[in-house]
Amino acid sequence: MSLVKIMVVIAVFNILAITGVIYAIKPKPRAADAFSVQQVEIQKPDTKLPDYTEGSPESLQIPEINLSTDIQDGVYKPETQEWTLSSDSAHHALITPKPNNQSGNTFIYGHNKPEVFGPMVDLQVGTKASITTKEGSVFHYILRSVKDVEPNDTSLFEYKGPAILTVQTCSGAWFEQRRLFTFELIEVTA
Amino acid sequence: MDYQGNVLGTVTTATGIAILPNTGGMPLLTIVGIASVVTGVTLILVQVGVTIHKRKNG
Repeated sequence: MSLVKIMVVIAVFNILAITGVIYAIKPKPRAADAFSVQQVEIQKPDTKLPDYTEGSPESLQIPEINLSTDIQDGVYKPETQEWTLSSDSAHHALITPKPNNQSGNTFIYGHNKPEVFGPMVDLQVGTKASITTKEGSVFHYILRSVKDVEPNDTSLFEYKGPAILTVQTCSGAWFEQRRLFTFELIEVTA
Repeated sequence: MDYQGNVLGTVTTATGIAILPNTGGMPLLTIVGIASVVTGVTLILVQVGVTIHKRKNG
């Protein structure tokens, strides 16, 4: 094969690769057109219970994998379908309940990067995690399930039941899926 | 509706959410793409170097 042919092959390969890079950097939400924005019910804890405890999440720790990351506020913008997202910390979706001992699904998400939730990808059921709140209390959880869902599967926001914690990061070779780690509350300590 | 997560009662209605956060890090395709670009440029430079070397040495 002549030099020219080799260079043409390399050029074509590079063009395809660069196109892929552009696609990967700016992924489009799948089936977003088919999903209409609608009203969903978000459960909030019942504060009337006598032993109710809640706190604003400050940091998440998973000692088993030496993970400790700060938690910032996370806001969803319906008009752009984008979430607050930083490169070096996790976020608590403010439309979900704060960590509490009664009910609701506290949703925390972060990048699949070594400094955020990258180490979580292969986390095993039974792993313990804890959230420290700004008020000083610590919520202890245990991992009960791990599942990958499509980006438009927002059913977690419709959860109604005992207090749980859902942590999300991305998964898949193209980061095309969302990996959800569902934790059950064990106890709350001061 | 309280977007600060404050407790308002047993059930609160919020604006619908269409998609989960895009929390991907560096995709495999990005890594492959960067590697292929570097490889391609390197091969081109090598060929240019070989061509120049041949011309200088007749």
